[in-house]
Amino acid sequence: MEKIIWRAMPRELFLWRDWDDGSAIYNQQSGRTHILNLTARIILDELDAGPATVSELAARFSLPDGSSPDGEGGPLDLEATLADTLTVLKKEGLVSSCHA
Amino acid sequence: MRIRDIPRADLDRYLSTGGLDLCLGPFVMRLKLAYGALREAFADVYGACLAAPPGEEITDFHVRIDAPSRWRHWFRPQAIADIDSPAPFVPLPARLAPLMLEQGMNWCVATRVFNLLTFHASVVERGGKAILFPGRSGAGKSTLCAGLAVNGWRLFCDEFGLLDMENGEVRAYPRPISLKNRSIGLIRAMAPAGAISASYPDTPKGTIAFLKPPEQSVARDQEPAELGAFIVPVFDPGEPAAISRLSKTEALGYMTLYSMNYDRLGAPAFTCLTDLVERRPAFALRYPDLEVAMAQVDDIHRSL
Repeated sequence: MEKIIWRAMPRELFLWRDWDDGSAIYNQQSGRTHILNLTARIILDELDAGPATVSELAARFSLPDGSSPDGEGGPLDLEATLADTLTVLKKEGLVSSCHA
Repeated sequence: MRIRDIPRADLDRYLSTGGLDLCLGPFVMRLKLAYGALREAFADVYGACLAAPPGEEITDFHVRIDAPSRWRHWFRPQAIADIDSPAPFVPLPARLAPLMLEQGMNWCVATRVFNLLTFHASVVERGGKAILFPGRSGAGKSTLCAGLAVNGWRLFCDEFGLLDMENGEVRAYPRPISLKNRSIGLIRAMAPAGAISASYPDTPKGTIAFLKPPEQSVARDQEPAELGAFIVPVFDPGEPAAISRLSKTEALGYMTLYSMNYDRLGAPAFTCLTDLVERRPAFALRYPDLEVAMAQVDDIHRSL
C-alpha cells in the first residue's frame, strides 16, 4: 500500500502560544485561530522535527512494550488516532501530506 | 450639556429635525426620533448623558427611528430603525419604539466598530479592576450586571465589552440595561426609586424595562479600567452555585466565541487576547440566584 508522508506547515505562517493545556495558533494566511489539545500539539512538534508517516509517528509515540501512551490500546489504535488527528490538522491547513 | 438640562422644547426640536448627538463612552451617535412618546422615554432614560446639537461633534453613527412608511405613522403605528447601512430590523409597534432605538444603537456598535475588540458581554468595575462577563443571550448577564450596578459597582456596559487592543484596557459605554420579566422586580427591589424606566409589556421577549445608567457611571464614561478577570456566567436555578477556573485554551475559546469582531481584526486581536488570557484569570460561574452570584463575583474580585 502506498505510504502517505505528513509534514508540518512552516512555523513562520503562524503566531503561536503554548500553554500547559494546549496551544493557540493564529494562521496569518487564512486569518483563522486554532486551539490545539496536547495530542495535536505533540504531533505538530514531531512533524516540525521532520516529515513522517503515521507508522513512523506511532513508533515514536509508542511505549517500549508497544502500547499507546494513554494505555487504552495497542499500536493499531494509536495509528488510527494519529491518522484521524492528522486528517483534521490537514483540513485546518496546519499540515500537508504527499504520497511516498 | 446633560440631556436633562436641555429645555424640553429644544430637545424635541433637535430630535425630531436635524438630530441630537449623544456623546457616550467612545462613540458619538446622531439620533433622530420620530415619535413624541419615544423622545420622552429617551429623555427619561438617557437624562444623565451628554449630548450636543449637530455640528459640534464628529459623529460615528446615525440612528433614525421612524415609521416604516408614512401610512404606518398614523394607522397601527410602527417604528423601525434606519441606520447608515442596510440592517435586518423588523418593525415594532410604535409603543415599543424605545426597544427599537436600543436595537439600532446596538447594531451600529456590533457591526461597525473596528478600532476596539468587541464582545457580547456585560462589564462592571470596582477598585480599578473591570470584570467582563461574556455570554450568550439568556445566560443572565444583564440581571447580574444590573444587580452589581445598583450595589456599588460601576456600570461599564451591559451589552458590549470594548477592549482597547493597544493597551488591553476596557472602555466604558454605560447604556441602559435591558431587564426582562422576573428580573425587573428583582432589580427594582434593590435599586433606588426612579432608577428603572417604564415597563414595555408584550414584546417578543415578554415584558422589558430599562435600568437607567447610574449617574456616577455616566459621569466617568471616559475613564477606562484595567481588565481584572473574565467570568462566563450561566444562570441555572436547578443547580447549586459553582465557580470553576477556566484553562487558558478554554478562556481563549470563550473569548473568541463571544467576540463580535475578532475574526475581522486579525493578528493584533489574537496577540491582545492571548496576552490577556495569560495575564488574567478566567472563570465559569454557575449560579441559582442573583444574591449568590453577586457574592461569588465579590469573592473573585477580592482575589485579584
